[in-house]
Amino acid sequence: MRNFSNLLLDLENAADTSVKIDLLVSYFRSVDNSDKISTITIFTKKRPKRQVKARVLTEWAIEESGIQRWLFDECYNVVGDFSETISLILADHSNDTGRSLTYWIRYLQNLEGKDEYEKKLAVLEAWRQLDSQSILIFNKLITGGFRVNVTKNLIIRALASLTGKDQSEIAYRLMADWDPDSSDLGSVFNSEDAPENISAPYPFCQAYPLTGNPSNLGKIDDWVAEWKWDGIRVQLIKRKGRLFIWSKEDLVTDKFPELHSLAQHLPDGVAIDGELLPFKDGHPLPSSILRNRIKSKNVTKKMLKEAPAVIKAYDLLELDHRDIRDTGLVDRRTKLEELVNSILDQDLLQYSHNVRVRSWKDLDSLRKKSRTRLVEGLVLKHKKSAYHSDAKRGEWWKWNADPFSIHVVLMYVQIGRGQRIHSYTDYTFGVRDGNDLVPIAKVVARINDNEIWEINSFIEKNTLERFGPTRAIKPELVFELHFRGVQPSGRHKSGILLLDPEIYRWCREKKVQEVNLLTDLKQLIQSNG
Amino acid sequence: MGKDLLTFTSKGIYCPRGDFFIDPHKPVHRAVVTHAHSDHARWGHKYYMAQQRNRHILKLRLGDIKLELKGYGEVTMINGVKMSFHSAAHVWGSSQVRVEYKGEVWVVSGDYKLEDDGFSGSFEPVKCNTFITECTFGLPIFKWRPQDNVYRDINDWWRRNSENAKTSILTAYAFGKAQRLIQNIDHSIGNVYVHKSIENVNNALIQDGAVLPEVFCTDPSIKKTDYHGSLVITPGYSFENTWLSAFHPCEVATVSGWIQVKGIKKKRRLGQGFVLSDHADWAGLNEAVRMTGADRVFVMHGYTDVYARWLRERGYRAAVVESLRIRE
Ligand SMILES: [Zn+2]
Ligand SMILES: [Zn+2]
Repeated sequence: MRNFSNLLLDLENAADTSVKIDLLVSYFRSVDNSDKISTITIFTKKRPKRQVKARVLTEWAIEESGIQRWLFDECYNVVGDFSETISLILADHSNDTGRSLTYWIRYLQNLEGKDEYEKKLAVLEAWRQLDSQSILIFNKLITGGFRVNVTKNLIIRALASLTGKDQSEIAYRLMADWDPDSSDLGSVFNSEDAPENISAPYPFCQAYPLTGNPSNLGKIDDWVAEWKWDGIRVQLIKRKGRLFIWSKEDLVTDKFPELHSLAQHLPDGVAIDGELLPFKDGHPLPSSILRNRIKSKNVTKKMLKEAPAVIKAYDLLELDHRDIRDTGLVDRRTKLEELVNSILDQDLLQYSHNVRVRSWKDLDSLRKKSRTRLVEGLVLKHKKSAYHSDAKRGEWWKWNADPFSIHVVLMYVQIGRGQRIHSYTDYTFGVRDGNDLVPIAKVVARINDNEIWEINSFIEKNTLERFGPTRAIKPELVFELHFRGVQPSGRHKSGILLLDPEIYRWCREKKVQEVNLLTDLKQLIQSNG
Repeated sequence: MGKDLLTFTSKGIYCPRGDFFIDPHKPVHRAVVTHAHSDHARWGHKYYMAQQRNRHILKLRLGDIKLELKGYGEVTMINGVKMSFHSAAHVWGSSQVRVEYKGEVWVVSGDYKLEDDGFSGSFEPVKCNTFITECTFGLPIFKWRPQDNVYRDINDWWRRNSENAKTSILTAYAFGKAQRLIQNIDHSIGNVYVHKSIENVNNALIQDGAVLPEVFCTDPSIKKTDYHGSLVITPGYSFENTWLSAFHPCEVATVSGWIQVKGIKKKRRLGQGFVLSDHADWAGLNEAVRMTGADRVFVMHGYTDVYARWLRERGYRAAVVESLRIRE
């Protein structure tokens, strides 16, 4: 486990991709085959199931360490993460016994079906046998909270360099149904003895964000512009009579029974790249609905009725069992359009049409209005572009709609995690609602240090009330927020949820009377719905 | 609190009976200074009193000041109040301040650590009735590993970089951490360079009686390749890209207690680093408080609310020194 926890620490600190790949390669060289498989599994495929809730784990840690609950909570406020707080509190309780990652993964799997008392004994025992950094990872794994800043692409590149195989082949193998319990890397990566996998998708081709002027891309006639639908990117595959729907993370076919009839209409041996969207009465709905559906255990009738899914088809990757990713985009999209038109259930599978304009300027004005269509903006694809295994600079660009902007007032601040002295960096902002203010967004401040200092001293002098780490502030400081979208929300007092809010600037010149009204935001929902 | 030997005013900790301040943060007539860090030794007081080892370092930081120096344990009578300095082991010359009047004893800790770093002296526990302690790292998540383990990690890192013909750059406070590193790292791995500001501190400390291993000062005239394989110690603030580019290819790491917590590390953009602090960790604070025998404790600097509550729950009369606003 020490190897693995060191790898994660090093990856955290590594700045650029090549360093990360080197770290991964030398890690893979240093561990045995079963640890290689375990690592690939938790990086790319499935992480061990959650066995214990973070709350329960916290109780055990409090008991084990002998500190009071309030003190644990204070520590948590600073650290901001249960698993890490526990690992730091228990830092000197343990002795690393040097067991492998695979050992601990199996240890976790063996907890399946055990009662809580047995789990507790096992966890306490594990804590005594791990060092602090490994306890952190163990806690993340057992609570299902393991996340790592390693993209699949990075793993693919590292494994390609390790095995000498093509990146595309590794990618294909990784996406397939290989057995994580197999102990031999060869069986996963040798095409000869790998079981044939009929569901395997292709690596998704990605677009780069466009910065600057699109006219730098040359003639508009060389490009295809498409709406960038705000949904879930998927590949729809039919092989051997069976239908498969892959998101970038997982096989999600089961979650979308309303699309299963496509199996009867699509020819065999096709793979379509598209966007999964909740679609009702001719309009897309917020994509979060489908994300929640994927997360939930069962798909209910209600879900299917309220937000049925459709697929907007972007690209055709396989036709007649043939990989056609290298033929030009225009050719692929022509075939795609024919295919979509030939099937009966065109409501379920819709061709994502070209956005046709004469000039970049016209396109830009369409992009600026793209919000009203509930799309995120445009994607520009070169007419001759192939469907690459990852992002290839220069051929696909995403050109997002401008963010929304709004004026808000600072209402609450929370002591930023882990600040040495009071530095208030979690800001809650509000808008006006009649004579009241309603909070609408909580944002981690990214303001320059000078302003933070100034704002902090305002906060020091203008605290109205304190509750725990939070302070209510005299509502005087006005900020401009940018955000990507707005959704109705039953869970928030304001009734709305801002998507990806970010502080754009501090507006010293503005007064609280000048902040926006809640109704402004509600209108935004209506005009976009 | 009117009759207390020490009080907390908007200018800092004040002894009304003796009419002097301890580490005041606004200009006063008479200031007793625990150590030469800028949040403790400020500019603008009329008269300064400090421990003997601080003459040149205070001069470097504050210019020409009216300064009176005293040895560790040497008792000075100020308007009938007995005042003395006692080693705090935080940095070179750092002191706790003991104040006594009619048998009642108060101690102001300044900054301190219990571990002897081989350069800053060893911590002297001082019995008192009331202890005013810092608690920069006053949470049980802060536990320092034995310092030798940390030096070993640093040496390993340096050696590895050196083998790859890279320059190793450590960022550390110019006064305190830098000298502690110079004193304890393995000089057989390669040359050690320091930023000019550290060189200035070193020279002042040497005049104040410190002994340090030989190091070189970075200089624009030195060729890039000459740095390869060596260690460069620099304070965080000299971190402009242009400065750094003189050392490519290089690895950079921070030496700080804050490295311990990922969230803090991220927020402060500390990157990779080594956990080493010149302040007491959680266990150190508790041990220090215990050794004073005090039943009343005031806390300042850091996680004060939490630490005061913790002490109260353990039977101490503890409170937060509210009036002080400290920045580092
Ligand atoms: Zn200090
Ligand atoms: Zn200090």
